[in-house]
Order: sequence, then structure tokens, then C-alpha cells
Amino acid sequence: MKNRIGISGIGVVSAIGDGFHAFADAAIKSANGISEISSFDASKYENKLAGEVKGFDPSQYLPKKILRKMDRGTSFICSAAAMAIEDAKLKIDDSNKHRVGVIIGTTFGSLKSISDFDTQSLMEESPLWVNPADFPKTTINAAASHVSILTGAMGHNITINGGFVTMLEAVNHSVELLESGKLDVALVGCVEDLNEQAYLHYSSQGILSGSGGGDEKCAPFDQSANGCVIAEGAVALVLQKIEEPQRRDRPIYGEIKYVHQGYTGCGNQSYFANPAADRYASIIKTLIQSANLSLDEIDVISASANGWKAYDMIEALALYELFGENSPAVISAKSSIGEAVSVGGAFSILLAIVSIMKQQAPYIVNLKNPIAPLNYVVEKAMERKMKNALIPSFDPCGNCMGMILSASE
Amino acid sequence: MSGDCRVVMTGCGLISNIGDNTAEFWENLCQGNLGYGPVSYIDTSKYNVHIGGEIREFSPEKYIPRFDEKKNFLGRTSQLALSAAYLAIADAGIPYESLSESITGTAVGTTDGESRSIEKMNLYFAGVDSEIDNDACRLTATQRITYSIAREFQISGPACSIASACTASNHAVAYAYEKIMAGKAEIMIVGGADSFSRKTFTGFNRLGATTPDYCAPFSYARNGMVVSEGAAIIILESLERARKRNARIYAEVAGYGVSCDAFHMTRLSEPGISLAMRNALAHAGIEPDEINIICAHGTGTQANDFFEAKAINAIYGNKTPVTANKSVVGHTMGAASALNVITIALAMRHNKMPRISNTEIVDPELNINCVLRNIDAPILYGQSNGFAFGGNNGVVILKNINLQKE
Repeated sequence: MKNRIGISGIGVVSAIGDGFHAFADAAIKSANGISEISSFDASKYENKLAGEVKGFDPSQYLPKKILRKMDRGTSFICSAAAMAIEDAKLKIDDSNKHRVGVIIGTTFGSLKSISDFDTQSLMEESPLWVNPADFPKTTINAAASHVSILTGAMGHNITINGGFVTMLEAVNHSVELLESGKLDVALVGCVEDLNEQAYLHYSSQGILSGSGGGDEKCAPFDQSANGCVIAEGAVALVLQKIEEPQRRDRPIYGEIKYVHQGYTGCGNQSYFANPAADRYASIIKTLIQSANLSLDEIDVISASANGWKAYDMIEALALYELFGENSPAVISAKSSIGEAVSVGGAFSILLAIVSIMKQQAPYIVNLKNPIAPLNYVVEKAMERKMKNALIPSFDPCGNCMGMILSASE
Repeated sequence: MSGDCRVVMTGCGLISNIGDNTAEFWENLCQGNLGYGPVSYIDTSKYNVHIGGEIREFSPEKYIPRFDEKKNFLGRTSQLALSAAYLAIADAGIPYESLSESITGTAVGTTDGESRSIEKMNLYFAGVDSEIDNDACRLTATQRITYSIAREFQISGPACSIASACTASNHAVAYAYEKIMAGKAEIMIVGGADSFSRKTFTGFNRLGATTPDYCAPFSYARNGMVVSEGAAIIILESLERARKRNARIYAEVAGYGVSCDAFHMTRLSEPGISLAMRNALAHAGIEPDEINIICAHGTGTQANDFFEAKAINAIYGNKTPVTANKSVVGHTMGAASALNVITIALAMRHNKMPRISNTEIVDPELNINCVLRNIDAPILYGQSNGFAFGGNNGVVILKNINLQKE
């Protein structure tokens, strides 16, 4: 029989709070995490809003001595990992450290450290006047490595880059490693930090809100949406076979019923070629069938839409095609937090967990005139019996994933 | 996928500084014709060392049909990876158009991602360029390397870049192996790619880890590594599938081991390295003395070679032959482990163990059996080692199933 994999610990750093309880309290109220960018001077650019983590103090979670060796993103994910381990009451010691793996996703991880190091080498009189202590921060696996150094986990350590679907792919791979017996515990997470370099990746494509004129806002699924708002943060989850936390009488936040991946295809060779909604729908349909569920057993959809209209439209049409207007309750973490790229899927997972825990679905911020008819949660939170959540996630490059998370029985 | 699924390698393609086809690569490797020389990408006059393993006159249109710089919109690392992917797919005898009919996935390991695009962007931050280069900014995302392959072949399986630094492509092989075993992919286009990076050249130079002349792994006189670039891609599929289509099989992926030192960002640690090797042996279900050759990480630095040899000696003793292609190619970063995998596959095909060049006297302190002259011998099991900053370790073991007909 297939192993049952559950989430036994959560750590989070986000624009709406750090630590799962603070996150849950803010998320259920659809708190606003969007604010003016402060981590770099955005005054010269068109778009000035972001889902930025403000006032976060990593020394609450990490020894000050090791913080010096980390860049901002690495301190986010290490803090989240420390929280998740504490939350799961997981002990990593000589008896199990070889069986604990670290699977971390990021898309722009270390980009600022890379850029700063290289820029310094260009600006100094000699390129060798760079600070050698900064060099180790410039490898993209620095975040995952520091998580292992911090926690002592000596099993797998892998860094995955998959754009918007990164978190679901990281969970997918973690489940494979747990099911094939390579690991007993997977510490899986994603991280992005906001910086000028990552910001430029999106602003150069003109997909940030306000790029084409109009007010900047984060409004997934709304007709007035005019782009996405970039965000940052980190999420770490402890994944185990559910018997293990059950044996220790520990709660399980949810069971990962199935993760499925497909490719929506690209019609042409341009970078942001749009994947087709019907292929998206067919991938989600396969996912739900693979989880041995029927469409009407899905209670809530923690959506991927981010306010970039062309992107949102594909998801909305796919969900409409599958469920019609009486769809499961549609919620959106990105409406509160913004588009956190790799971490986006992780925030969606957390929002689904919060909804199921509280039996209440938080409303989508700024949604007034939907782009397609679906059962969106608007204006106020919706009380509802919820057991099974669908978490779709897709990347503009065509990679499309979905995950079913169920309340643990 | 049934429990008795086996994963085999049926194609390989590479873009390296000693050749863009396996025959030329093999010949130059065995002859010790070095692939590195004076750096051309940047002015090295203010550096202590001036050599690097660049691929001279790389032209993607030679490999990528209908390549159009503007239309394809690929960074240099993606160009290298996609070129090697084309070569590997052709080598596997798989028609390109059939890739989209199967569940094909891709995983490419990298250390620095699209470093050339990032470094172009940095010219603006350094005040060298007065305006921001929007095209460069659009290319900075690391996952573009695998997506460029996914898009080109319109494949429907998993498409992720693996950024576990210098062991990334062994990790990519491990990742792909799991995808095939879990039935989530039928064919995987796997490997690693990196461009010669100013940032990486500067960093290793600053750490004093680069050699001014020759990379001599495990040598008594070793004095550092050579920063290089390249792409190495292999095709993995199930044995059943490969046999059904009568594919020429290089080797079976008999097992892999992944571990983390959980110790230090730059200092190596023998327990972590040993753990990856032991995991790989256990996964392959073999004893250490069954390994016929180890294609070492062997960067040529004091520290790497010391700790790697210590771990090899502790597990395999001092009889198992050890080779290191970085002596000829230099360190291709994200491509390095996959290049080791290809080296082993070619060694199996040629029944020959390629030598470590530039190393005349092995450091007696290391006490391992380095291959200093090419040796004709059949190889049943070969091992690719890959280690990285952050204590990320990856080991892949190949089995020559052509040698032992079952």
C-alpha cells in the first residue's frame, strides 16, 4: 500500500507575519501584506509595491553568530526551518540525522549575493579586493546548505528551481523520496527575497501591476487587475509518513493526497507563451482522479492567480471548465501577499491548511468584478465545511502542477 | 511503475572544451590534450591566474536547428544545455518529434545558472553600462535552462533546474532516476550546464583555489583548480523501454547516494562524503570492491583532494582505480558530475580507464590508486563523485550491463 504522507510542522516568514499562528491569524482576516518597497530604492522604477517582509528579526530564531554568514533569503528559510522543526517537535540527532533530507526550492535564491559580489569585483581597483567571506553566499544552494548546517540533517540536500511551480515540485520530490524509503523526514520549503535584481526580472517584462498605467494593486481574478505585485518570504514544512507523528501523538496539519505535474504547452517560442486552459483543466482533472476523489469532493481551491490578467484568465477558465460557477470556494493567498514566485505555492498550501483548520475560507482581497464566474470568497470570510483542498500552481513557461491536501483523519 | 523497474542510460551529448562529440572528447581525455588556456571572456590582467576552460567559438546554430538569437531568446547556459540535449537525444536514437508523445522530463544541474545574463545586468550596477539591459534581466531566472529544453521539444514531464552547485548534475541524475522509478516520466533529459562565469572565476581566484598552470588532481604538486564551462546531457529511460525500442544501452544507473555534510559552507568533511558513497553502494546493492573505477570529483585543490581521497581510502582502500577528468577539462561546475557519468559510460564502452593527466607523483599522504596511464580493462561498475560548496554530496554508480548479459 502507498504510504500516507502528512505535514507535521510548519515554519513561515511572510509579509503578513512570521510563525504559523501569526500567519494563520492574519490570513484568515485577509490581512494586507502589500506595501511600498523599502529594501531597495524603487523610486526610479515604475512599480513601487511589494509583499515585503518588514520588521522581521531572524535572531529570534537563529544564533547571531551564524546570521553573519547568511544573506536575507537564507535567514528567511533557516528561520522557517527552525520554526517547522520546533513545531513538529522533531529531534534531529545521531540516531536519525542520516534519514532527514532538505529539499529547498528557489528561483532567485542568492541572486543579490551573486550580483553584489560580481559588482564589487568590477568597481574595486582590483577585482580581488572582494570579500572572500561573501563568496560562499553566491552559490544558489547556500540556503539549502545552511538549513542542513543549522539542523544537522545529513540526508538528501537538493535545491530545485522551477519558477512559480517550485514549491509543488519540491513537495512532489520529497514525497517520492519518502515513499521510496530514501528518507524518513523531509524538510521541504521554498524561499525568495525581494531585491532590485529579482524585481528587474519581472519589471523588464512589464508584468508588474501599474506597468501599463493605472493604480498599482494586487487583485487576482479581478477585471481591473493590471499586473502582479512581487513578494518575498519563506515556508518550511516537515513531511513524514503520518504514522510517525501519530505515534508521538503529534497533530498533523494535513495529508498530501497526491501531487501531479503536467505541461500546458506553449503555442510558440516566445518566452511568456500562454498555456492553454483546457490542458490546465485536464491536468487538474487527472490530479483529482489520481487522489481517488471526485470533483464534488473538493471543498476549497487555493488558487494560483496573481493579478497578471493573462495568467489569471487561464486558471479561471480552466477551473470554470472543470467545476462551473458553483465551484468549490476559491481563495487566494496572493491577494494578501503578492506573487512570491517559488514560495507562492507554499503560501497557497498554508492558506488551504488555515481554511480547513478553521473551517473558514478567507476572502480574496480587491476582488469586485471577476474575470470568469466561479465561487470566489469575497468581502468576508466564508464559513464552510472543508476537508479536501485543491492547490493548483502553474508557471507561465508551461509547467503546470496541482496538489490535493486533505484534513487528516 | 513496477518494483523491478531499472533505469538505463541510452544517450549522451556534450559541449566541452575538448570536443563536442563523445569520440573527440574521449580521444582528447585519454591523450591528455588540455582544454583550458588563456581566458578570453574577461581581462585577467589584475588577477593572479589567467587560465580558464572556455569553449572557444561556441555557436549554438551548429546544434540547434533554426536557431535564431532573438527568437530563441536563450542565455549562454541554456544554449550550451540545449545544444548538448540535441546531441544526446540524437545519440539515443530517439526522433525529436517523438519526445512529446511520451512523458518526457528534464532536469539540468547548474552552479551559476544564467551567469552571463546576470553579469551583463551587473554592468549596470557597477556603472559600466549607463542603462539597464532588459533582455539580460529577463534571462536571469535559473529555471530557464530546463524550460528552454522543455519548450524546444514540447515535452510534458517534469522540468526543473537543480542548483546544488558543483554536484548539481549528480543530483539531477538522482532526481531523474526517482521520476522514472515513480512512473512520472518515461524519458528524462538529464545533466548539467554552466557558462564560464566572472563571479566564479573571481571567487575561486580570491580564495587562492585556482592553479596558474595545470590542474593535477591528487598530485603531490597539485596547486589548484581550473574554472571551466560546458554542458553534459544524458538520456535516461527504463530498461524495458530501451529494450523494446532496441536502443543501444551505455549503462544502468545502479544506484545513487546523496548526502549533506551539515558542517560548513566551504570546508569539506569526510563523514558527509563517505555517507554519500555508502548510500550509493547500498542503493546499488554492491560491495566497495566491486567498483572498478571511481571518476573522482578531483578538482586539484589541496582540500578537496585530501578529503575525497580520505573518504575513498576509508571505504575502498587503496586498490580501486581513481581517475579525474578535471585534469584535462577543468571544473565545469554544474556540468562536472554529468561529465563524470559520461566519462564512466565511455570507459565502459571502450574497456579502458582514462588517466589523470598532469599528475606525475601521487601525494603519498592520500594513499589511493590513481590511474596515471590509460589502462585497458573491462569495467562492470563505475562511480561518479560530485561534491560542492555547502557540503552537498552526490554519487552515482553505473553498471555495465553489456558486459554481463543477463
